[in-house]
Amino acid sequence: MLIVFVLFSITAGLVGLLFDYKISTLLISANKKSRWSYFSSFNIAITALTINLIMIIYCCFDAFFTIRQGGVWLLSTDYSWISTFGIHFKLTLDSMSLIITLLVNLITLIALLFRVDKKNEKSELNVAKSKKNSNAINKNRLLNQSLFYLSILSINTFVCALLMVDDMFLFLFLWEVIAIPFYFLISLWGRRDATAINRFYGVRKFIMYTHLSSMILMIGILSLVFINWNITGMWTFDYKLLMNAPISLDTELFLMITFLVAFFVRIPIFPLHAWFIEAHRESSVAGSIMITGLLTTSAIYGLIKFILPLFPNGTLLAQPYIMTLSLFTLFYSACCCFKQTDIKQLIAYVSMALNALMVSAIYCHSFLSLQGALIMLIGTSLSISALFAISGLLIGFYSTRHMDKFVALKAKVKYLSTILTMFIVIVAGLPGSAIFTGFVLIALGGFIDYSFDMMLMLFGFLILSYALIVRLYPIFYGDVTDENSIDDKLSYPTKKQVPIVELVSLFSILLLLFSVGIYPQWICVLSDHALNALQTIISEGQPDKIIGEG
Amino acid sequence: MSAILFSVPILGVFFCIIICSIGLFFFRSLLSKWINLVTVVGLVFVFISTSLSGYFVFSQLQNTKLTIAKSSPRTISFGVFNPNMIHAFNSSSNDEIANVSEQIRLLSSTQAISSLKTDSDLNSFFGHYLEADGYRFIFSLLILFSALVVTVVMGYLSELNQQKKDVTFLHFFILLTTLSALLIVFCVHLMLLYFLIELIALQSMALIVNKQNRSGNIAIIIKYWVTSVVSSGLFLLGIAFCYSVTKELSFSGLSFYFSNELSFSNSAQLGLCLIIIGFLTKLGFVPFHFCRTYLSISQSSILTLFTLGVTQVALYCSLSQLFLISPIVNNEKIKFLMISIAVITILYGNVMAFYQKNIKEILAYSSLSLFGYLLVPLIAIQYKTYALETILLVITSYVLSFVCVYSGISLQINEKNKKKYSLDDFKGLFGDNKLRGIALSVGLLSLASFPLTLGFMGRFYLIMDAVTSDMWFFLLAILLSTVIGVYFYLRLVILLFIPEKTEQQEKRTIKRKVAFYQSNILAKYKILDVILILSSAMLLIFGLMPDLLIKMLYVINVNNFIG
Repeated sequence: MLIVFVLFSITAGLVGLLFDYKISTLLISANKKSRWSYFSSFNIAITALTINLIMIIYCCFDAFFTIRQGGVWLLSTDYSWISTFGIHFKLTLDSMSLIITLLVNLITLIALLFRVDKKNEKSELNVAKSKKNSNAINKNRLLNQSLFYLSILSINTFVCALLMVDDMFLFLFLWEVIAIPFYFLISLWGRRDATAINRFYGVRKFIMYTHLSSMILMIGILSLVFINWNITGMWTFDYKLLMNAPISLDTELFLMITFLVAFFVRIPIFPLHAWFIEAHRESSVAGSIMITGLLTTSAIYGLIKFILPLFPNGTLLAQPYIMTLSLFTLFYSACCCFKQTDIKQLIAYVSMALNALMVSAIYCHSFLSLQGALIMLIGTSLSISALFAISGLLIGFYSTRHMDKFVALKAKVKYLSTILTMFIVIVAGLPGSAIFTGFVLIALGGFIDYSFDMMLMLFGFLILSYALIVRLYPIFYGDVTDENSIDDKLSYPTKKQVPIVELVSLFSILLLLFSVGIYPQWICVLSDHALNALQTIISEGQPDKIIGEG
Repeated sequence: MSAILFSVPILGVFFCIIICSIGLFFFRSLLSKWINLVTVVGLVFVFISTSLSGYFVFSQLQNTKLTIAKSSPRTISFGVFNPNMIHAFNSSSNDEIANVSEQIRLLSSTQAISSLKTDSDLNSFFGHYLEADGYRFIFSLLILFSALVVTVVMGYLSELNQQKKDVTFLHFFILLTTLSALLIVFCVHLMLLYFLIELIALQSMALIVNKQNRSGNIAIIIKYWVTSVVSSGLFLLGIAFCYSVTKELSFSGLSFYFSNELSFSNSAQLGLCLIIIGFLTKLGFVPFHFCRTYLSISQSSILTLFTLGVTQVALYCSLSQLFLISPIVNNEKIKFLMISIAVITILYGNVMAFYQKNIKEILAYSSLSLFGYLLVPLIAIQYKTYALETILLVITSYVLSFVCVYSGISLQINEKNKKKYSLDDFKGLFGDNKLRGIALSVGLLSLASFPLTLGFMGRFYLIMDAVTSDMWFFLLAILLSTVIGVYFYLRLVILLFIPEKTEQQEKRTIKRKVAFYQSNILAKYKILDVILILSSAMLLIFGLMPDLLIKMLYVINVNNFIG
C-alpha cells in the first residue's frame, strides 16, 4: 500500500515521458489529431497527483477517526535492502507525517498549475500539427516538457519518501538524490532572461552547498552507526534503534553538528543561506514553489523527526546557541527585505525569516510551541508558495522582475490586487489565518521558559511584516499619470484578467489557510501522539551527565 | 577446479588472436568488416563462456565446501568478509593485534600450503604461476567487458572514417594486450608479473603509435617509454630486494614470510616500497602522473577507455593482491607512503580537473583522482574486512561508468567530426540522440557519485571504510574532492540537455545518420546503443539494489578462500 503510494507519482512521470514519446512519433507520422494527445504528460501528472491527494485525504480522515477512538494509526513497509549492513527499505507513515505529506502534495499541485511553459504548450501542439518542417524540434520540446513534469513528480516522490523514512541510509539516499531533479528543474527551466549555462552558474551554489552538507551528513550518520556497532555489535541503520545508542555527550555533540549543518543548509540558517537566494532568483515560479514547499519543509520536518529524538542531550546543551542563530537569521533576513528590488528575492528572504522563526520555535522545547511550529509550517509553505505564484503572474503582466516597475496593479489587473493584499496580510499575521494561529501557539508555549527570546521573536516578526508591507504596497497604487501616461492608457484600455485556473487555485489556498487557522484541532489531534513521544524523550535528556562510552 | 576459471578466458582470447592473425596475415584481401565481426563475436563468446564457467565452478564449490565450512571452526581468512573476524580486526589493543596476526600467520601458511597442494593436474602444472579465485575472476570479467566495448566501438568508428586495414591491426594488438592483462590478473609469481608488465607496456606502445590514434607525435612515445622503463626498473629492484630477504618469488611464499615477520628488515621494507612505487608509477598516481595524463589527453578517447578499463584495472588487481595476501600495511612506513600518495592524488586530480576547458582533460584528471580513492580500501584492510567488497564495488562502478562516458564521447566526437573535444560539441546531445544522452549522463552522475547509481554505493563503502579505520585525512580529502567534482561533472551533465539546435543542423544530422545506418552492419543492429544502455542500466540497477552485486561477491569470495 505505502510503497505504491510513494512510487505512484514518479511512475506517472515516467509514463508521461513514454506517452509524450508516443505522441511525438505519431505527430511525425500523421499530422492529425489523435486520441493519444489526451495523454499528454501534463494531464497524466495532474491526474496522478489528484489521485494521490484523494488517497491522502482518505488516510487523513481514517487517521482522525481512529485517533479519536483512541487507536494509533500507522502504515509501514519493510524490505531488506543491503543485508551486510542491516539496511532496510523501511517507510513508516504515522499521523504526523501524514499532515506534511498532504501539504507536500498540495504544493506540488500548485507548482504544476503555475508552471512556466503553460502558454506555449498548447500552441506548440497546434504548431506541431500544422507544420511539417519543424517536427523534429517539436518532438524535442515535447520531450523536454515531459522531462520537466518527470523532475517535478520525482521530487514529489522523493520528498514524500523522505517524510516517512525510518532508515538512516535511506534517509541519506533520498536527501542526496533530491538535489538532481532540483538541479535540472532550476538550470533547464529556470528564469527566462538567462541562458542555460548562466543559470548553471546560479545553481552551482545550490548543488555545491547541498552536496557538501550531505557528505558531512553521511559522515555523521556512518559514524553514529559505527559507534553503535562498536558497542552493541550489530549493524543497524534504523533510527529508532539508533536513538537508544549509548553515546557520550562529546560524540553526541559532534554528530549533532554534522546533522545540523546539513539541515541548516536546507532550511536555511544564516551563514549557510547564500544558495537559497540565488536559487530562487534563477529558478522559475514552479521551481521556487518546489524549493520553499518541498525542500525547506522536509528539512524543518526532519529537524523535528530526526535531530531532536536522536540527540536529546546535545539539543538541550546547544539550545541557546541555536536559538540565537535562528533569531539572528530572522532579524537579518527581515532587515534584508527592505533593500530588495527583485520580487522573488524579497519573497525568498521572507520565507527564510519565517523558517528561522519556526526553527527557534522548535527549539523552545514545549509541546505547544512544537504544535504551533507544525501549524505555522503549513501556513508558511502555503502562503509563500502562493506569493511566489502571484509574483509569477506579476512578472507575466509587467514582463520584468524589478519591483519599482510594478505600478498601478489595481488599475491594470482585476482581482489580483485583492488576493495579493490578503496574502501579504496573512504573512504579516492576520488573525484567523494559519500563521497567526501557529504564532499564538508558539508564543504561548515558549513564553514561560524563554520570555526574552519570545519577545525578540515577536519583534523580528514585526520587522518582517513591516518590511513586507513597505516593499509591496507601492505596487497597488502608483499613478498611471506619473510617467508614460498616454502610452499606458492606450496600451491598456481594459483591465487584464487573471486566468481562471490560477484565480480559483489562489482562492482555494486562501480558504485552506483560513480553515487551518480557524480549526487547527485536526492537526493537533493527528500530531498529538508523535509530539508527545518527542516531548518525553527531550524531557528525559540529561545534558550534564555523560552516559555510556564510545 | 579453479584452473577452469583462468584457462577459459585466456585460451578464449588466445583463439581470438589466432583467428585475427590468420585474417591479418593470410587473407589480407578480406574485408575489415568481417574481421571486426569475428573479433567482436569471439570476445562476446569468451565473455559468456567465462561467466558461465564461473557460475559452474562457484556453484560446484558451494555444494562441496559449505559442508566443510560448517564442520571446521577455522573459516577465517585475511581480507575476506567474515562476521566472526570483525571483532578481532577492529580491536585496537596491542594484545589483540598480536592475536590477530597470529591467526593470520596460521591462516596464510595453511593457505600457502593448500595452494601448493591442489588436487588438479592442470593446477599443479600452473600452480606456481597462475591461480584463480573469485576476486581475480571478477576482475577478468571486467577486463573482458571493457575490451569487448572497445573493439565494438573501434570497429564502428573505423567504418565511420572509412579505414580498412588499420583497424584489423588495432584489433590484433587490443586482443594481445587483453591477453596479457588477463595473465597479469591471474599471475601469482613476481618474475612472471615483471615479464607481463613489460609485455603490456610494449603492446600498448603499438596501440599508441598507430595512425588512427591522432597523436602521431614522437614526444608521447618517449614519455611513455621512459616512464615505463623506469617504473619496471624500480619494480625489478624491489623484487630483487624482496628475494634477498625472503628467498621467495611466488605470492604465497611472500605472504607466508611477511605474515610471520612482525617487524620487517630494512631491505624487505625497501623492496616492498619499490614494488609499490613501481606499480603506482605504472598506474600514474600523483608524483608520477605526467605520462598518464598526457597520454589520456592526447590519445583518442576510446583508447583511453582501453588503458583505463583493461591495463589499469589489471595492474590494480595485481597491486591489491599484494595487500590482500599479507598484512604489509601494518608497517608504518608503507602506510605513510600509501596515505600520502592517496591524499595527494585525490585532491590534485580534482583540483586540476576543475580548471580544464576540454572534456578529455577533465576526464583525464578526474579519473586520476577516482583511482586515488581505490587506495583507501587497501589501507583500511588493516582494520576491518569490508575492504574487498569496497574494491569490487568501486572498480565495477568505475569500469561501467567509464564505458558509458568514454564510448559516448568518442561516438559523439566522431559522428560530429570534431577534433577538439571542446565542451560545446556536447551541447544538446540529449536532443540529438536520446539514449546516448541518458547513458552519458548516468555515467557522469555515477562518476560524481550521486545516488541512484552504483557510484554512490561505492562512495558509501569508501566512507564506511574511512570512518571505521579512523582515516580523517581521507574523509577530508574525499569531502573536498567530491564537492569540486560535483561542480564539473554537473556542468557537463547540464550541457547535454541544453537544446542548442537550429532546424537545418537537425536535418543535416538526420540525413547523415540515415545514410550511415543504411551502410553499416554494426550500426544497423544498434549494438552500440545496446552496450551503452546495458552499462548504464547496470549502473542504475546495481545502484538501486547493490545487494545483488554484494551477495554475488560474497558467495564467490567466501567459497574461494575457505580452507
